[in-house]
Amino acid sequence: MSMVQIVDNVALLPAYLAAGTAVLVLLADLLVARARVTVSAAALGALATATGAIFVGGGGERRTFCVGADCSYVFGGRAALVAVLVALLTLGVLGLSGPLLRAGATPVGEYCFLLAASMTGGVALGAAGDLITLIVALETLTLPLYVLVGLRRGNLASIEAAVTFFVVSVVATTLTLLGAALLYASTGALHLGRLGVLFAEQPELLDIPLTTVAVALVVVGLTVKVAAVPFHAWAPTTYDGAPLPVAAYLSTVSKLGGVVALLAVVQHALPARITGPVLALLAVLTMTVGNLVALRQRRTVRLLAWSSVAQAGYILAPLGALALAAGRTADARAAAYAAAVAYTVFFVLLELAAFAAVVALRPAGADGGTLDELRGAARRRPWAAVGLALALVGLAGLPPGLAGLFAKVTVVRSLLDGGAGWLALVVAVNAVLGLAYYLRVVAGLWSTDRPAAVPTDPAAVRGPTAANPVVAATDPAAVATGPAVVPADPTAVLVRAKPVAVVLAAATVVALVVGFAPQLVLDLAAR
Amino acid sequence: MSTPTLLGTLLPAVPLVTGLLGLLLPPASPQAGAARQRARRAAITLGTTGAALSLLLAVALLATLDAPAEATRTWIDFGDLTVTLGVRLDSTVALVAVAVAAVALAVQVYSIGYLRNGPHDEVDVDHRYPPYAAQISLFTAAMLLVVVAGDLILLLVGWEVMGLCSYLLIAHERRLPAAPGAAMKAFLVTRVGDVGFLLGIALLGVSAGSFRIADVLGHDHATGLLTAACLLLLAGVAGKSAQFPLHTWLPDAMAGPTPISALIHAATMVAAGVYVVARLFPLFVQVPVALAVLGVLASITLLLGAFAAIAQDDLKRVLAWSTVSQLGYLTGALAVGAPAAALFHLLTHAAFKALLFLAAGAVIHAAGTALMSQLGGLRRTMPVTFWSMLVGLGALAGLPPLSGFFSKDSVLYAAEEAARHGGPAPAWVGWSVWLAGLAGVALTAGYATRLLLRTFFGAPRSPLPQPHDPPAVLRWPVLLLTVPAALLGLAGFSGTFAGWLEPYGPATRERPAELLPADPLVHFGPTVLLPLALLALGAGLAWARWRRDPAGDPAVLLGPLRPLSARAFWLDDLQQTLVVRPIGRLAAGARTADEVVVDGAVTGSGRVAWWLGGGLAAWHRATLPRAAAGVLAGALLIGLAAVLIGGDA
Repeated sequence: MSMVQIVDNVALLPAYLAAGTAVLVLLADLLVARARVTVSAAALGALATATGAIFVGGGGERRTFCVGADCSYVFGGRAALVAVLVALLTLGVLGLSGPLLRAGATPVGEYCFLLAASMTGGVALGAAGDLITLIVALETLTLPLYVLVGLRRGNLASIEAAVTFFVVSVVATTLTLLGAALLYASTGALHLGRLGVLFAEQPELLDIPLTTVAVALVVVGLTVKVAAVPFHAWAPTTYDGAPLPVAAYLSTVSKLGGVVALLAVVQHALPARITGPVLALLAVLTMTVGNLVALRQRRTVRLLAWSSVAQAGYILAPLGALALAAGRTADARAAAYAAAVAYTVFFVLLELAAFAAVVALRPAGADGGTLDELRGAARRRPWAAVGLALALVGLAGLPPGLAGLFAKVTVVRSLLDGGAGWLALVVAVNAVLGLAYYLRVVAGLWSTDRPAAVPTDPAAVRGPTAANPVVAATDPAAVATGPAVVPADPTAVLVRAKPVAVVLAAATVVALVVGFAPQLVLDLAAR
Repeated sequence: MSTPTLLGTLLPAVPLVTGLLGLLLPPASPQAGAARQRARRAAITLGTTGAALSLLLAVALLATLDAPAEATRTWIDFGDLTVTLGVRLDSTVALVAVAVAAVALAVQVYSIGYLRNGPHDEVDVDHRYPPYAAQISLFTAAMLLVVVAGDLILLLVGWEVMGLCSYLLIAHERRLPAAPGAAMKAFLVTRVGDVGFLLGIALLGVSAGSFRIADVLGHDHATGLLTAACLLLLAGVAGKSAQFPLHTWLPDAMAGPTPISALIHAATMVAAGVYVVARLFPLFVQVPVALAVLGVLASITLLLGAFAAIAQDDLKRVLAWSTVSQLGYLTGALAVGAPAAALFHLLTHAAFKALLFLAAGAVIHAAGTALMSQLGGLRRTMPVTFWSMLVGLGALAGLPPLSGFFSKDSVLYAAEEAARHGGPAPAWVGWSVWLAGLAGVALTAGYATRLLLRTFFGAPRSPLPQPHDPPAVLRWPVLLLTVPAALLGLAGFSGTFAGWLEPYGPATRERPAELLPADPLVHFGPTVLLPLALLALGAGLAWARWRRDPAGDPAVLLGPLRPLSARAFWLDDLQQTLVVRPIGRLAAGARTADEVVVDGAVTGSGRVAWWLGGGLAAWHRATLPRAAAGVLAGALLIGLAAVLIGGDA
């Protein structure tokens, strides 16, 4: 074996671009020290990363860092899709960050650098070909988020959120690493492809309990990142404590990263005989608990957090079909993976649109506030309210949010094809549960029974909690977040909201377009 | 696509588009001045343009169509069942389409003047003009769709849209307390029939494996199935064409604006049922039972309507009951196997009934009331309306040489032939239709004379001092309609015209239609004297009674039967007792069951979900320790489970 490797730098180009963005942002912040330049550098870098990923992904699969036939870095169609999505979602989150950054409590340079660093992890994640690369990429994606969540100075909820996220995430990584180590101990392999071949050729490997435990631990560790029940308890606190754009990032890019990592190990490496039942159990628990608790939420972001827990259940559900023999035929497996990817794509689009709409409906720099504060919002900001309504209706899976409808149909169809009718039934029941809280929020947007008590004009109100003491007092988290910094000039708010509106419009339009042409996404997902 | 099929496709499409565009206009609020006028003008333009264009198209279709044509597109293919969209055109289609479009145009123009502020109206009547005009357009489009439809699904779509439009238009006059109830009644009663219609169509479609009318007619259906399907279809026909016992909605529908009554009674809605039977007549011919049922219903409807019309005091109600009676002639002609005669009478009836309603509207417009006890003596002050009305009533009663005489004669001749020589239906059906028809002639002449005398002769009883002929926009539609009402009957002498009404002909056995021109529809025999004598008898009795007491009501001739006639045999009350009340009680029971049992289960499960959510949410209060514990415990349990169970799976 030669010790000198030939590195395919073209395959690494998207990752280079992403990492370069981080460095560029750092330099820009150091040398120019103007917020506008820093943010523009980050946005340009994200765009360049997306372009590079499309360019490289269009040219067929590229492998590098190979030992024999096994490669640690495989940039194919799926990797390109993930890289493009991560870069564009980062761009979207940057667009949503304007109000937060101008509010002044968050350092701009650090914020953009951490976001770019996290994006680098996401871009590399899709191409990971062995467990070590996978875990390192996932940690690169997550590590900056611990800081981002707690970046608001002097905000207790933010700190609490960061600590919770950090502790739980580290425990999860420990579990994954432990699983990977045990797997290496029992099989001697770390490359995903080699593991898959080993398990296929030597079924007796699974007779050793250690191997079984190792497989289960890897899966369990990774499901923490997608916030599947019972590894979800960090999510609501973290989302709610984090600044709104960071929460949007957590529920889109971070969740996408978890799904990609999980798919990588389940699809290529680990035996479906063990991962299937584990994932089926997690899917059922996640959907049900997520939806049930979401029913009782009164804070906007917590509701979105719990709903995104439930949505993770729908993503895992097609993989749960692997639990049955009928779900393990080549066709059924391909359909299940494609369904999970497709659902994830639809979901992150709608989720970004929902968060963008919440940012647009809230005063600059404020947190998500309570649902009561969104009541009647449609009369003040009709377009943003329509955006939020479309996103929520889509998440609920109803027309005219056709994207969400097709996402659910895809999942259910793959489950029925895989012979897991009972799981499809659970999905259906949960979809009904979901309607209850999504539609309640949507109906509230157009409600007229509480006209004046809502902070509408950011210049007229001294922060969200002051106007609404009764609601705020019932939820200690609301008090902890404290009043937002309010800009003095109301016209400035409108100008500042522009990037947010652009992101909202773009996400809504894309969601509507893929709603009418779902085959595009399904074809991409099947690659 | 050939020219006729293109014209046929455009025929319903044009009023549909103008109707949908009209719905987009603001239904102008009462106070806004200029904007309201703009919306009204746009609505008028759209409505009349749509109707005029469809009239042009229909005439062009009549001119260009030389042989039956058909165009079909497959819409959905359910394995062995194909649903197509298509038109099926022949000269009957073109003729009926001309009639529909002409009446629709007359109604659109007439409405411009009828629905505006009169001198004695304190309240605006036109503040919802744009939706009104748009609904008329949609109504027309739906009827034209029924007329040209080449498959049963498309026909059903038009059929149902008509039901909806009739509901909306009858309820248009919101100030009238009776309007919403009448609209609901029309909708529900026709709905009852529509259920049968839908089932009949489904049976035929499934049996033939296609919903195309040509396929359905060409398929060899099983006898039992065909009988069931035809009887089910008759239920729908009875609903839409107001046949006994589903006729009760039609007189109540007078609550709608008068132009709408003209539209419903003349061109759309009631004509649809008769037209559909004529369209599918090759099926009905094979089922004598269905024809017999139709014949019995027709005889009852004919006599019932004519008898009920005698004692009504409301001008419009007389006309409404006369429609019920005339529909009896139409379905009677179908029952004795003479669809051409039925279509002939359908066309003349469309002309004279539209004329009568629009002229009655002019009377109401001028006098401010529709009650004949408050009218009278209008002959001198409203000469134009009087002469138009005279033509209309003469045609209705069957006075030669007006149109109604010839068409009614062709119906009676067909019934007599069926009674004497037999037809597709048993001979007794022919006898029943013929005798009922003859009796109907006398009754019709009686109530027509009474209406004329009570409204236009005698001393004025009007509450308004100066009734006068209506403005031009009301007058011209009425005047133009007198032409077909008077002269259309003469077309019955022409064999070409008869051929148009019978494009496929009864040409199956004895007579290949291509070789011989069709017989003219008008036949003069010795029996033609019989209806004339009866006509003279009916009119003479009414006139003699009026001579004795010009202020009194000729209906007193009925003696103790008068309340029976005025209340139409108490059928409405019977319906109330036998159908509405039990169903109301049943509905109350179903509602209770729904609220307590079904809703109980639903809200119960909702409450359980709510409570569960609360419990789970409470568990998540202390985040960090429980989150970490959850992760570790979950990993431990799942790892253990994987070792113990998963390995063996």
